[in-house]
Amino acid sequence: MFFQQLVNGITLGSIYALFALGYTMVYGILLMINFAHSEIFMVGAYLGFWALSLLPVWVQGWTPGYFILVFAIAMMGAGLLAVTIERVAYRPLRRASRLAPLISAIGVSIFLQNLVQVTVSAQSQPYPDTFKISHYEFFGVQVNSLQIFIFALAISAMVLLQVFITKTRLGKAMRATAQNHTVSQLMGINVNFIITVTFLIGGALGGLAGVLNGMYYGSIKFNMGFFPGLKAFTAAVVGGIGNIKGAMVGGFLLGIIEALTVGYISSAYKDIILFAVLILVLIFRPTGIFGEEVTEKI
Amino acid sequence: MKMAQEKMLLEINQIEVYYEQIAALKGVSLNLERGEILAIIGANGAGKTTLINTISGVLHPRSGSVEFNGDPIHTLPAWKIARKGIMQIPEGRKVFAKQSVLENLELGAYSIKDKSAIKASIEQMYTLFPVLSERRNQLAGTLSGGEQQMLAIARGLMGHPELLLFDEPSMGLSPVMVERVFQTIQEINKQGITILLVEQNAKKSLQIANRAYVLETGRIVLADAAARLLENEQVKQAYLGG
Repeated sequence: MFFQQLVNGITLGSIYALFALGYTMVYGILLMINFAHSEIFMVGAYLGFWALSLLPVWVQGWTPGYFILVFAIAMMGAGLLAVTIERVAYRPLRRASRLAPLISAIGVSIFLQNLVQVTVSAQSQPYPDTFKISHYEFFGVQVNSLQIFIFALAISAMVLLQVFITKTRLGKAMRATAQNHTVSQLMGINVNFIITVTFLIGGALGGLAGVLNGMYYGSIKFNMGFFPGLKAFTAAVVGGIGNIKGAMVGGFLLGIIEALTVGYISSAYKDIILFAVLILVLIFRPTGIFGEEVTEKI
Repeated sequence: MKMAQEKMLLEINQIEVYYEQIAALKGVSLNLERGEILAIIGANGAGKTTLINTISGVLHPRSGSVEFNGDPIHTLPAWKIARKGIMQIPEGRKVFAKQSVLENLELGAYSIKDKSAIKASIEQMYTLFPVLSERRNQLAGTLSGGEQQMLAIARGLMGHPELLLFDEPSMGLSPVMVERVFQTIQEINKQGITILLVEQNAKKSLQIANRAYVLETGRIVLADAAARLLENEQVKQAYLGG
């Protein structure tokens, strides 16, 4: 039972971790919680849904090219949506009080949920079957090919992100910007461009998480981002908000805690336990697992 | 006339800079000749950092102009000014504490596209500051104050500046390090880089500068050769401890 729930938890955690990265990256750069990120996840899931349903028959089937295309559409679309939201709803408020962009983010979130509810559907919709799921058993633990697929994709995305932020010129500039906007500009770094790239990458990862979530649970709905969004945000806080490794670790940790609660206690308690973890972390280690003292930005 | 213009690297003309409603610079004009060390001395709150941040484009003047190599730059964002060849060594060093020494150097060269030139500059910095070579993989935040100042200077040099702005480089350093920093500034200047130095340590800066301006509550009150200002009674009384 323990290992079975661990496998389920890691799958769930893969999705939370990808989702949490968008919260943490934006917070790292702007010290702002992007509450519209849960709707980027939802829109990503819908873009994947449309790509899966509408792509012509000749590209469908269990081919890598087909999946690459589906994920490319969902991730690009979600990334561009995130960039647009920043331009329209956050950038004009850059010099306002820190509360202003937060409220703007909540507004964008409600706007997008309602937009999808009205123009697409108020009902949940079944996610198209992607590939035939095969089941495997290792030492009594059931693992299916969809779980392996989700985990592999999430890990690849996280490794790529880690390489990007530690090895590339742009990634290094992104980490510099997270430390000090003014000094980064003095180095010739266009901080607005870095912010755009941050939203693009965070949004794309959120979109990827949305598609994987749709595939895993088999259905999507206009408000599907809300609860997973809160959990992903919790994961980011537990890991240490602003810290990329923290979001990854926090995501897996939350997925595993949730699965173990479902297995050993009751699924009715899973959200109670998860948010109790958030409260405990905030009380006893407000900086999270990998968090450092938050440096004041001027 | 044309000749005279080309001699000037930076021309600041009657700039007024405000923080909200409060004027920090009230019509400041100054010229910077190619190849010189120019010192700006003044007390706390005289507007020295405001002046340097206006040149860097962190602040923008409400009126007046800043021309670099004859081009107006006072409306440009800071990152574009850095790419034009004006680098700043900010007050308090402000190294990227969570990144390695090497990454800090690479970030200084952000506007340089030629990878082999960046490599060559890094080697040059390691020769100039051997301690940075020893600690290249260490996080910048773990360096001592003096080492961080060396890193901040090296980071500024990595951008291949024509003009290097120093904001209080001796602040918070031990006397030995202060000596070292002023020596380094002179060495950098000998390599042909023009220097604008803003300092509270008036004596030291006047000793290495060619010319200097005295800034008082947002206005230039004196301008002369540095050697003559060292002998000026007014300057002696106010800034050199009598």
